[in-house]
Amino acid sequence: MLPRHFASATALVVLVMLLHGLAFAEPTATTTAATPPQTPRRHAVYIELLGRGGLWGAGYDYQINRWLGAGATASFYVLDSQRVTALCPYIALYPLGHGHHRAFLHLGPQFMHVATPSPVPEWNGTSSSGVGGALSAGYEYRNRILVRVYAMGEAGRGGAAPWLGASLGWTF
Amino acid sequence: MDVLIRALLLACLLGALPGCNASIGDPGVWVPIDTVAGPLAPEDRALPAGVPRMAANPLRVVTFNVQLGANVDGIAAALAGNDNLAHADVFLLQEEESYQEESAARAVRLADALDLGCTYVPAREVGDGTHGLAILSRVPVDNVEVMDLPDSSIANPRIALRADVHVAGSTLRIIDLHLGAMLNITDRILQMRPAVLHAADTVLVAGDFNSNPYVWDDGKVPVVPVSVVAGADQGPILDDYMRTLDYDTPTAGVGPTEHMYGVSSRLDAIYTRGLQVTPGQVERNMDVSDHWPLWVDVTLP
Repeated sequence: MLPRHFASATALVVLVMLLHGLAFAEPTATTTAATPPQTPRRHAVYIELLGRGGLWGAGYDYQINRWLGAGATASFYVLDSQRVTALCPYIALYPLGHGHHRAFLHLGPQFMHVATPSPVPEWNGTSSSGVGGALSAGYEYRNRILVRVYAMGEAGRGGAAPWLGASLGWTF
Repeated sequence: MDVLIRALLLACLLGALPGCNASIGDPGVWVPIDTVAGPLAPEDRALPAGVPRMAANPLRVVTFNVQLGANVDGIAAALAGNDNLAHADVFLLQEEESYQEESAARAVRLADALDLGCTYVPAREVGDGTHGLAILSRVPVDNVEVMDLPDSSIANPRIALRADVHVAGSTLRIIDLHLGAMLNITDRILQMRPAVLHAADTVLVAGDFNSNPYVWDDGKVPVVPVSVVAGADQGPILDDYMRTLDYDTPTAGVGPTEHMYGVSSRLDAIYTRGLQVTPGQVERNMDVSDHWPLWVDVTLP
């Protein structure tokens, strides 16, 4: 059995390679002939590592115009029986950039719930919920694939702290 | 077809992401320390002759993680110079160490400096030495036993120490603990539980519970957003668990007991059952360890 982090990295590499292949593959004569005029690729779906949801997330965003977008990331994971659920909508601003390469800012709330089931019969377990806010800043490449790397700051009932994130997805 | 391939890849990726349960092993049983031999054999020092055994009811009990205890003279001076600790009756210490090249276990040397009796019990070997727990006392202590705590694969071996303290015709059972650092709360409860679940009706449990404010991924990465947004502090959850076992939580409101890298956390605690107990106090004016001493006064029935 592969170590868990090695398996994660392997899966990520496979995903990157496939998306890269899809993004940069030469079109065949048949597909070229059948391709309609290119339309703006306003929609994106992506997987996020670390990021707003903590450990990972799956997200969607919509490009409203050249400078503005909106989206949301959802997360669910289990750590030693503790179930973490997060939903993090955001507004995206693109103050700088050229072509497919842009700097972005994401701003939005974080809704998070942690359920801690009891590992023992004499205790009932517990749960907690909270709302925070996150501001992310980073680099985005958006063509057929979407790549983001960013740093973020967040604040909530547990204080404030920095965090990192990276996203990989495709546009349509 | 592209959609199908992408969906399969997404499933592979999600399946490979962290998020499994770490296993935690079986606990040991309470073993008299005089049956432990070899490199983990305990070291002790009897109460000095001629030193008045002044403990009375109530009894002042201190828990203190001494961060390896290398600065014996500094720790002794800090404890002796603190009005609240200088005359404390029992010290439950964590992160004590002993090395062959040193004259005696650091806990024993600390006890010498403070005119206290001492029992040092190693949890594990460290280089050519050992690392473990100690009980220092100015009153008689006996029936000392050690338990190997269940251990997740990511933590160092941990033990609990149990002993009887005799005060004015009464006996107080005490339990000294040091739990793993990067455990999630469910594993932390499982690690602590064997030492506290079937404890005596009159008992004091104290130590470094490492009840940090994080949820951990695989015992390596603190998932910071969960702590910031949802509040994942393990201390209040551990208090809640102990209350279900009819323990009082006199140190639930003391605030931080440890400071490191600019972050302060309540990692240490004292729990009592069947005792009158004062609210806990933290001595934050001491800087001989990354932890601060935490103490209560208990009155035996």
